[in-house]
Amino acid sequence: MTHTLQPNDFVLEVSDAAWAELGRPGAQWAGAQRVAIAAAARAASPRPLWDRAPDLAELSREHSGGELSPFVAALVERVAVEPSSLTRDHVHAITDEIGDAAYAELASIVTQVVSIDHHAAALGNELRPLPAAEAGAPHRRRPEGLADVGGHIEMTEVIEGPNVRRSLSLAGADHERWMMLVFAMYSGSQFGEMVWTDRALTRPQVELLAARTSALNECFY
Amino acid sequence: MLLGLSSNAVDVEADLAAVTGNVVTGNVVTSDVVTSDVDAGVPHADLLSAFAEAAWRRDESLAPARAALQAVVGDAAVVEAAQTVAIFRSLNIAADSSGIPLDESWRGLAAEFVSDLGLDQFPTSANTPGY
Repeated sequence: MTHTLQPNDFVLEVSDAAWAELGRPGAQWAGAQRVAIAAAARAASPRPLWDRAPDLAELSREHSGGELSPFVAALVERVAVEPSSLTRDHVHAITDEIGDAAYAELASIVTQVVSIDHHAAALGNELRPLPAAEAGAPHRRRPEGLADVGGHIEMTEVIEGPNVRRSLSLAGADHERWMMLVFAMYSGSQFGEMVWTDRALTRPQVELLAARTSALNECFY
Repeated sequence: MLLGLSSNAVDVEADLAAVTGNVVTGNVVTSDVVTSDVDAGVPHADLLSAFAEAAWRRDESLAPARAALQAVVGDAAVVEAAQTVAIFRSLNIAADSSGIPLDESWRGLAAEFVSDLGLDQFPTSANTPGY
């Protein structure tokens, strides 16, 4: 007989903080749009082989009553479940239309929702209700210190640590909140230490889980 | 790569192939729990790998995989396992959607095992500058 598994207190605290911000205006998207992106990310799941995702180029850019155009809704799905198919050319075609900062913020919302939702699901717990949208316009500020470092989009030029730390840094505060989730759920301050002695799992056990998940996602990085 | 480095740090020789091909092709079903026929040189690798796969699929295999892991490693370890699989799903999204280059310090190490493990067959290998 199993019982309910309680999340780590720090993970819960960081998740609460990220979730609360999802409904507030961001840098490029309004609160209602951000909640719609979160809802689309939550609804996205891998399609069976016979059900191909629609070609983004063929989807309408016009809103038809919802907060997101069919194009943006499909983009959220693509980022959430098939990011490995996004080439530099794909991303540049997308950012030519919606802007690189809007793309980064969209992807950063997806990373937050996916990590929080999958954590709850993996523990067998209910998913959180989506936050209410707050009124207000996006602030449109762009982070400083960005450069083309060879990725699909601009990112922080100078960093300490692995490149994934700067991946969606163009998304500013959303990326920082996701990095706090990474800190809380993964390595804490011990990324550079190969032996962890104060945890329930050893470092090799954690890295086996990480590597297996990355292999399932066919993530080369 | 961090699996290899952290295993070496505790004098364990991890079988890196266990995270790719062996798991995909070697699943066996025991009762209602799907376990992976894998011994990665890491304690409870089979149960951990089965949990990672079930959490990735989020289907009916998840509850029995979680219960099987919980029975052996306890609640706190399952909570850490859930954190790990969840955050790595999002780490993969951040890496692939942004196209981050491979870290310079990893390039030499990666070259040693990429083709052996078939990682160069992943579509994202072509989207990863530095490889």
